[in-house]
Amino acid sequence: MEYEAVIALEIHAHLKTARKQYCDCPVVNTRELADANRYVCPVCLGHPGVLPVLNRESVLLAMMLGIRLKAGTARHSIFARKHYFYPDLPKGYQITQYQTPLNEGGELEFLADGEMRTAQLERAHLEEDTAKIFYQDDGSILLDYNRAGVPLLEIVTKPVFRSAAEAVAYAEELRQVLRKLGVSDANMEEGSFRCEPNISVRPVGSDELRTKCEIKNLNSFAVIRKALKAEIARQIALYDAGKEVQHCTLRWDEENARTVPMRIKETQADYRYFDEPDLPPLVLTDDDFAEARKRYENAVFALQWDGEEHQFAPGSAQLTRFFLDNTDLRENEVAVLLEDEDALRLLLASNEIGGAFRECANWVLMEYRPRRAQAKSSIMPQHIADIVALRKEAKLNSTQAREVFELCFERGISAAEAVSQLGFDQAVSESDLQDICAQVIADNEKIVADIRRGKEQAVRALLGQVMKLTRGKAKPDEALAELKRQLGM
Amino acid sequence: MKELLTLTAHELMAKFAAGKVAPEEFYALQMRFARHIEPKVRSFLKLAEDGVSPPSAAARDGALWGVPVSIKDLLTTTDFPTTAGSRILEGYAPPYDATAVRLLRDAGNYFTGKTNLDEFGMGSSTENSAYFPTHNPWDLARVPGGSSGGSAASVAALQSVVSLGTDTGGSVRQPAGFCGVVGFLPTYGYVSRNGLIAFASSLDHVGMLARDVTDIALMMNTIGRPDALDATSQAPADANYLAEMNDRESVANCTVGVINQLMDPKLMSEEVLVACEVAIRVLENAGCGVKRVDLAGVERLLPCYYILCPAEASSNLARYDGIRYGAGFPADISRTLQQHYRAVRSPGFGEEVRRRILLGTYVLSAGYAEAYYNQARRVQHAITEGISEMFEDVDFLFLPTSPTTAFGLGERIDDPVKMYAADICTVTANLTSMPAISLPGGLSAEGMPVGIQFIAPQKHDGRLLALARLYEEHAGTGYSVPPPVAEELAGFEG
Repeated sequence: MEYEAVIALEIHAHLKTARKQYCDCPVVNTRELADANRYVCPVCLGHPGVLPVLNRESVLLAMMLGIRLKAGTARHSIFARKHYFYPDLPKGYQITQYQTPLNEGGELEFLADGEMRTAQLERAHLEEDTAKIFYQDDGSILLDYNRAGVPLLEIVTKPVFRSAAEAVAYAEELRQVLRKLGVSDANMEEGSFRCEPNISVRPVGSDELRTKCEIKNLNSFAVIRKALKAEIARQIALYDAGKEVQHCTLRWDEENARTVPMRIKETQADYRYFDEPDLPPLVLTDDDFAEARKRYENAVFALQWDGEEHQFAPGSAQLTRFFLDNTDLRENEVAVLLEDEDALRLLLASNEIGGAFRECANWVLMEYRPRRAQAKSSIMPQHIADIVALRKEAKLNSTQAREVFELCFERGISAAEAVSQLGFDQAVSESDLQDICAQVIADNEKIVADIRRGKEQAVRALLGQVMKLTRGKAKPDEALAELKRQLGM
Repeated sequence: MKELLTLTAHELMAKFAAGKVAPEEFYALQMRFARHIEPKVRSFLKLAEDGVSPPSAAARDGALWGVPVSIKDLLTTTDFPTTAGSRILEGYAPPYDATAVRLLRDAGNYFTGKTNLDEFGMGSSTENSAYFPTHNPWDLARVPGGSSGGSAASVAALQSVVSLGTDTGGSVRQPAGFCGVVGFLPTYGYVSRNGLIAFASSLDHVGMLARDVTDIALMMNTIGRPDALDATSQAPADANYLAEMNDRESVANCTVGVINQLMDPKLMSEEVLVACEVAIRVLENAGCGVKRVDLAGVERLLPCYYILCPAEASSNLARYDGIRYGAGFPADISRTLQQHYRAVRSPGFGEEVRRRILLGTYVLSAGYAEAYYNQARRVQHAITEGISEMFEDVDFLFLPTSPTTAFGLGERIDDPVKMYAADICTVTANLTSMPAISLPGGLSAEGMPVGIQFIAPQKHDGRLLALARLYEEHAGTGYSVPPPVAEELAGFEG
């Protein structure tokens, strides 16, 4: 039988706030054990008698995502306590949203296999992170509560993905959206973007939902892709063998490239939810919506193209589609530019001045980005437009143009000034050209001998020497004519 | 000088202002007597030690100043360990002060110590303290009530002028009634819960005990303030409870509703009913209208309360796992996690606390939450609506504070249901977030205090104090020194 996968993603993203969700502790993503438990207070340690106070900044950030996803944002939502015992959970319960999520429904467009698709969302609600666990070799664990109480947004899709690639493409797009909105750093390695897929499989054509399994602790997109593929294969193999899939939580075993159960889930974990009595209902005012809308608009990407303004919702799918449709950039180049907004802005502004998008893109991708990785850039869009124009008018050869670019990049002077400082605007006089050609002929006896034996194309090598000695200022056709004249060709 | 010990806070403050005695001098006297009588009463889990530096604040009009205050050990304090009356918090040194504690300190008051209580506030006799029971200053063989039994006893036994308590289902009012002092439960959110060790968060109030109503108003002026650390805080920023208490106009010709169902001889002892009828005549003489009213669903009050309150307790007490503080800290890593939880929580909690955690876990469990917890929430809603409707006809409600006077130590400890029944008159105010006050309503034939209670609509705290003051003036049954305390005082050198 042929099967298809049914995948839903649960993504936990740290919200980029200065303070924790329910106390005033700063949010600091510490990595070392030595820095553990520096950013804690009685509230996030769950001391007796403390009370949570909601961080409204996290609410605004979540509302921005709600606008982006066209979700329904609740004007009135409540918090609930979700109970379980674990050392990383200071209060013995997590304060989360249960019956009334802040954002309900919504959708997100993403590119998969070059095709625009839409994922339907279930909900996105506010909650708090747990402490970080450091596992020790002796079997004990050490707890770092710096992370306890960091604002989290849990973003859940409907079971809409039919392949690992599709699920990963959505997750990548969501990460871009969060970053471009400034709502989250969404960094998988640092744990500020955590992805937990639910997977089941079913015969193609069926619309049933079979028993699903959840995979936890996946820390890169590559791992998600591998784990999903392996899990899909595992479930299909079970059904093919006439067995059933058991509801369970799995983890990825990298060494053996397979998913392995963490624990068998009871019928339904009993979290004993009830409304959090310490937090009044979260009521959003028109002012809150206006503020979220304003911040959202600031994150919208606008670009001028052929004299028209185009706007793109924060994220990458729409922009990628635009560039692929309207330019000859390749997909990987677009991806690079979308990750590097300075480069993208420089390219668009350069293009806006003088056109020649592809040439501008080459300068930005091949000259600007590597140099900027080493040094501070002083280059302006006008410089790139001018250099592209000079090349087009053949006033500079490629080597000269790179030298001009370098000077503009380092010193911020105009292209014209750079050309002048480098002397690229001074022609080589006839007598100088004669002298240089003579010298090149004298210095390259072997090549000259080759030419004399009839290997006429070797004269190109001599031309190269002449160009080098004149630092590209000689006109190549004139130099070639002079060489031929002196060699009697 | 020792006669000063029987004064109220406002009388004392007048002496301070007139230069008759200095606050630190009085505090020293207070502590000497507190220690003197402590072996008899055992109000305190921790008495303040010598050498307490005098508070620096200056007297402020209308606020409590220079007065010795005892604090129920369910409120966090940085200068005393805080145990909640539980082994699981033995030796716990809170890193912060409860807001109410801080406000009292900042206003320039002294702390006499941390008073005994039923563990985590769960009980009506203070016998559920993990440490020792407290004795009723009127009869040392009886309980002081609870859970703020130590607070009530400390005020009645002249060990403190006033006390800070907490009230989840009557824990301030019932012991106040048993010990013959005034006990006040403000509207939910009128005193910050920050630092109140949570028992049932939606029903927990910080309350206060004093020897007269004026002292309650002074305390409210000091601690009844908005607090950014409590998201449920809703105190008005500029209320003056003393002025409101003295505003006779606000209670002129008011109507007091007497709840028939809570004047039922089947539920209430005769001595309590007698005292209540006397109190009703006092109200009439004071110019109040009295109306007999019916409260539907009285039989549902205790079941509703005893579902909601353990449910929240099971959640609030989940944090005591010995991993970050308290008993069991630092963790013994030779144990598995399960072993650790067992080793910490089983011996850490007393029997009543364990019972309520189990009850609460049960009523919140999948499959039972609908039948119990959610149903109780609906009943709570209906009760609130019923009471609110009654307040369309009457300004205040009148009812006893407790069905009986103080019972004997050990008398009910093995019968939790009988113990819970003691709360029938007090849970209503908590379930409806309304302010209530218990006042001394005279003595029974056996010489034990009887408490009478008023309830006002939410946010009518000032007006409730005005009615209480009116009653107090006309009744003439205010605080008197319990005979065993008078005896101790007579033998006290000063």
